[in-house]
Amino acid sequence: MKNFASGFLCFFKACAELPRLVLTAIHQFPAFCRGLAKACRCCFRRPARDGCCIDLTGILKRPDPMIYSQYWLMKQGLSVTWDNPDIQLFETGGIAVDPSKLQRAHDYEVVVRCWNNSYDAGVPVLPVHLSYLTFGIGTTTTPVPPPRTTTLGVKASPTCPAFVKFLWRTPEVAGHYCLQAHLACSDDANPENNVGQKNVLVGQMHSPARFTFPVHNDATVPRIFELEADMYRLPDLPLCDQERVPPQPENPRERRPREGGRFAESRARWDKALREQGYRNFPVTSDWRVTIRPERLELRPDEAREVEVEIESTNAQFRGTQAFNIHGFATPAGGPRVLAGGVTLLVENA
Amino acid sequence: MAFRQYTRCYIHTPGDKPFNRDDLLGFALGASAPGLITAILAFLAGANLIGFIAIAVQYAATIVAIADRWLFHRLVCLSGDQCAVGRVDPIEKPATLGEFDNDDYFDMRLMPHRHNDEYIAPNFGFFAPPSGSDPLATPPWKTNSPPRPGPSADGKTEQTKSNDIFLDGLQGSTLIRPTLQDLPYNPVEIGTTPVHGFNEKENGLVSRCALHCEAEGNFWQAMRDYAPLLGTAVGVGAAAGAAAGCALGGFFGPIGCIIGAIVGAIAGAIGAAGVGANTAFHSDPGDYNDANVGDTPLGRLAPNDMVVVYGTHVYDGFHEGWHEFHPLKAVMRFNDMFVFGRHQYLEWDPDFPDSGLPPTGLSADDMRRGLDSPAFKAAAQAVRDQWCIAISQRFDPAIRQNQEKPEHRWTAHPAVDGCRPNESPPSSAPPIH
Repeated sequence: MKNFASGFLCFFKACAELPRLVLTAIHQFPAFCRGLAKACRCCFRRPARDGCCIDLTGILKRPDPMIYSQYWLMKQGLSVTWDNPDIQLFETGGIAVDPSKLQRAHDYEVVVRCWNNSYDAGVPVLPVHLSYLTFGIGTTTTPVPPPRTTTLGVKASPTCPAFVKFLWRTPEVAGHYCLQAHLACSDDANPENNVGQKNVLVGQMHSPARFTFPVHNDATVPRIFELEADMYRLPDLPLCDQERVPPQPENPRERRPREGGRFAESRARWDKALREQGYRNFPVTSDWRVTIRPERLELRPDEAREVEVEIESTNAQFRGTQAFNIHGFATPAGGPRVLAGGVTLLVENA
Repeated sequence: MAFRQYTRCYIHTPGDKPFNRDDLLGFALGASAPGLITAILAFLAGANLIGFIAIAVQYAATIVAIADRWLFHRLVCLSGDQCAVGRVDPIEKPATLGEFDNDDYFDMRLMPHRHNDEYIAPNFGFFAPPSGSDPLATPPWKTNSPPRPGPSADGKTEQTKSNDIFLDGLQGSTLIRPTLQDLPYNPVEIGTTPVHGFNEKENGLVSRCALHCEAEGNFWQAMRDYAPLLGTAVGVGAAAGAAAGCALGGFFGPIGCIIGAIVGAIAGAIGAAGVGANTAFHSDPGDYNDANVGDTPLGRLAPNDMVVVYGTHVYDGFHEGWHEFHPLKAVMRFNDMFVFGRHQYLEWDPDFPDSGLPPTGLSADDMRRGLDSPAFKAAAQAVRDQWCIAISQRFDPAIRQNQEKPEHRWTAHPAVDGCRPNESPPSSAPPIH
């Protein structure tokens, strides 16, 4: 009886609200029609919940630990540099070191910067592996033990980016080496952006500057390697006040399914980056002559061959440093062409 | 914020009772009565149009009244937004319209409890015996002094009181242990809980000890928003049904017409109400796509997945009474027990062998003692805390505000599509200092 009386009283309160709800209903009429159409399509049955699993799209969150990953960026069609901004070498005293001028059997501190591309999920324990490779393309890796772990917070939190320090003793054998960092995360939103490489070599301009490095086929099938050069460098970032962040509707009821949201923002940013930094947007200019010998080579499994690169300025007035990226693309018989590695060559003229 | 919230928990005061399943029929009848009476009087007076309008208004007002109770007077606020770590229990079978909403939900067993810690009978160890023939935990209920462990599946949890879910001094105590002594926490049928995998063939009652998590659907909000449309549909449906019924029944004379009209009106109203409710059920606006370009599909949550959840801690009074997270605001899944020797999840084991490999920093004896071991308890707390930080950072207002700044809107890499905060000069120094 108490419930009956409560309901009876609520009737009048609800009646008073109906006029306002008429306006809401008019506003919601398209949504009502969509719901009716969907109900008809589903024959007025609820989507199956199979007792096995549950779909929680919208609230199921995954972290996306990432690093400047040449393979991922190139796969998306962007130009890349092999001078990785997220891997830096220091003397143990903290002075930055040029990675192309390392001493043999010497201790260096390597700092790897890890980002999280997720606004929603952090990584309490993120393992980071560091390894070094003989300078070149497709060369084999040697781990720098032990792997380290770090805590990576959500994007824009105090613990993002996170920095991981390694102590690396360079090999006894003199030579050029490059470094590769790998972030390992089990439930990663995008596992393809976790490997970054730093491959830099500096050469003096002696008309021409000469570089040699090996190209190695680490696959189990023969592959054709094609080497291409460009002059891409990381852009000078604009000031943030030139950026416009698309407004986000706060009220979820104002959103339409699969419209807007971060995906649209992400897509728009990628499209802009592709327009401005797409691969082939940075060809070698007429001020320079880059000769790669050979430009195309076929390698058997595990075969390596030396490649020579000559870089010459056609402008005698050139002073300073200029970066050239040499990218190696491998194509197996009948397979797709994939990025196999690359190097960034810095030409200096004091 | 990609989670959806239509409900609002309310502050419970002694004597107040949240909207409950048992109240539904009486409340709905009470809310319907004025309109129905008006409609009947109108029909008796021959004012059929007014009668059908009264039915439309009555239905719309009843829907609004019930929706308001459902949305705003069903969930009792407990301790605000909380997080919990545990494993997903078996997923309940499909809900239907009869379950009154289109929420997505699951139960979870809180870390570090075993499956066998779950109660297999009413918890007479925690609740003091009820007076008379009342069911256990009928208000005003009391606890035993001191409270004792409940009946576990294998009888081993009772040997170390600290491992009892209600008495664990950890997540069970803070999130599931009954606290509102003037509200019921009645034992539920075994077939409705994950303890026995929703086995409908088993009979009997158990005290609930899993944390129920509900991601909100929009059913009742849509019903409320559409109430005028639904009322109109029911009124028109009743009129059309009455007309059709009268036409058919009219073959048997005026009495047949009247009977046909009554039956037709009821059938038409029910049919229209059913179509309207189904429309609301399928009106879910869909999820806002928060992925980045390149993200792999999310996948689905499966039983036994290790998860950390974040949501509003409430008492759900519509059922027999239990604590839950409603709305569930975020879930993270993780499936590695260990990462480089650091445990990411802990579960005590009374049968842990001496030859077994315990997590770093714990001994086999710690694993056997579970929460009775200070080292184990500290480790469990640390695991919980690390995951709770990972999932709750997003809800920190300062971080949320920071995330909206242009310098944090990059998506490829900050050095590729980022921007420089206005106060920072162009950098020629190494990017990492």
